Amino acid sequence: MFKIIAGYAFRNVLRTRLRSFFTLFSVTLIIMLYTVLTSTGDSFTNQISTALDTQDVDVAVQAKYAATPISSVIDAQTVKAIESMSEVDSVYTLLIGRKRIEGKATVVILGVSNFSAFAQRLGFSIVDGRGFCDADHEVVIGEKISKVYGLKVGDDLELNGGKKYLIVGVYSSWLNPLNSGVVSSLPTIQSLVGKTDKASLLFLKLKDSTQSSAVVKNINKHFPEMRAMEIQQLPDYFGVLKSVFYFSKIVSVLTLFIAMAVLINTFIMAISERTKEIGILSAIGWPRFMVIAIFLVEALLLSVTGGVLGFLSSYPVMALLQSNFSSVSVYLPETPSMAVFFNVLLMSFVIGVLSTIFPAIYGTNIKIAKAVRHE
Amino acid sequence: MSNLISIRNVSKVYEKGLVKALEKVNLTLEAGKIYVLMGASGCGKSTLLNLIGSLDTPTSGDVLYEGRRLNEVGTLSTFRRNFIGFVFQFHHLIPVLTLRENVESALLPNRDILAEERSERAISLLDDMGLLHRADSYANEISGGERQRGAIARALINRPKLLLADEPTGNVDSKTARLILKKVQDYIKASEGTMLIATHDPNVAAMADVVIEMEDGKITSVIHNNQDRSISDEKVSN
Repeated sequence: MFKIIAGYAFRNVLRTRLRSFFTLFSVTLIIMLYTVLTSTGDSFTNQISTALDTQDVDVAVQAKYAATPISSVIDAQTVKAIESMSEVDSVYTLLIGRKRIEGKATVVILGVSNFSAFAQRLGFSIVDGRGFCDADHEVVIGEKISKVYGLKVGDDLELNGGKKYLIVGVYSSWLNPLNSGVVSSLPTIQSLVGKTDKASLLFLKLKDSTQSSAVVKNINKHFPEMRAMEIQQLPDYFGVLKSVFYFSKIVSVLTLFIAMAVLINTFIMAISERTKEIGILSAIGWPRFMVIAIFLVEALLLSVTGGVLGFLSSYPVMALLQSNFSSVSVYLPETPSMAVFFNVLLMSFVIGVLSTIFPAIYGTNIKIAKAVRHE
Repeated sequence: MSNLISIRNVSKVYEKGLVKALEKVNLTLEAGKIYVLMGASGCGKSTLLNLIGSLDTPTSGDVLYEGRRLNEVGTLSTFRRNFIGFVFQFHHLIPVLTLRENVESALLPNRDILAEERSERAISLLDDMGLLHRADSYANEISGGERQRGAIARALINRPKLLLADEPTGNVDSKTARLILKKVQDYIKASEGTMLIATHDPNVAAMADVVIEMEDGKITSVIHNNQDRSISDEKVSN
């Protein structure tokens, strides 16, 4: 039975070749867009989350009313007060800013209090030259900046304002966005962004990790301008990560609706054109579910094929984007993840079923005598 | 003979009562006979056929199938499949299925019949209808007469008790019409089934056991024909 129904559905898809082609083409494009956008979003979110998980710190502190880490400002007095808390073993200070490389793109700049600890925790490895010393004007740059702008060890890096910094090393990080960054000592970056004695984020390593919750409460109570959180909560707190997360979800839902609209349109037309056929099948004794099954199989053929083609076509599209648009400040993964593939399969299935079931139920609800007479 | 179908005071109106398609029709169809419904276009032949075939419901009155109302026969699709075979004026074969698949399609919902038996039955019927060489052809690849014979094979594959045909020879030449009628008549005789044909064609009426004439939604006469109405092979070849 399934063989005949599948053959029937497949030949129906071929019967209206042009319409099937454009439906398939639309679903493929929509799914490709979904794959590219969600892969980018997921990859970015995952890398940030993983980076934070591997930092081996317990508590993060940011200025309470800062929307992003870049806009967060923590003064030296607060840093010292937190450092002196009895539960705190050590504090890593991070200052984040953005500056334009003269005549080129804007990049993320990071000032760190302890480069070796920072490098170890964020998986930095020096691929050329050395790490910077605390001397002023020494920086290390990410390998992406090095490749894109042809900068190498020994060159000067001119950040806006005309100030020159000596490149002493090129680093590589598995956290891809950081490969488009410039890192230097905390005082150097403080001076560069005009935030002397200031920090953006503090990462606290506690003597006893189980005290995280108590320390967070303590900081939030005694430093009302600060917002402390356990390290696991940091991704949620970062507005940008939330935005990426919601963007990804919104894209999924929109994709679902757009693909459904395309398929619903196709199947309303198909069912309307084949009203007589529905009547004939019912007249010769086909139960309603079998008539609906024909349309469902047709829709699934189009939606799942479109899903798979959309996923596969995202490979060259992502490679193209990667090679043309992945400049210093834009992050794109090289390939979509398998998790996205399974999402695509599931979504294609759901799209196929939801977009056909209602037109098919409606179409088969007609009186058989009327359907048989339908022209 | 037992009553296969009893129609009691059946009326059918359309357009909120503005169009009276049938008005208090009473009729009994006995098992094993061939009935022909005759009348001008719009007299209610197709409406009566649709009501008997359970494709539509009467506005008032009852259609009884071996004494049971439609709501007592169980699942409608199963009932239709097992009890009734339809032949329409236009063949109405599914264009994307081959002739064999079209014939098999009527058996498809019947889970008790395996694919092998389904295929055997279809091949046997196509052979009876002289269509074996066309089994793997699509509807657009065969002639009008072959399509109609294919549609008859589809209607017969479930071995229905009642075969309903609406102008089955309306779109074929007279020679093909005689061939089609001969095939159907032979089958009905062999299976002791019942057939009701709506037609304008007096040649079709000549093969009937009972001719029912209709006018303006009413049955005006029921004529029993007691002569031998078999269509000879000689007539078919002419």
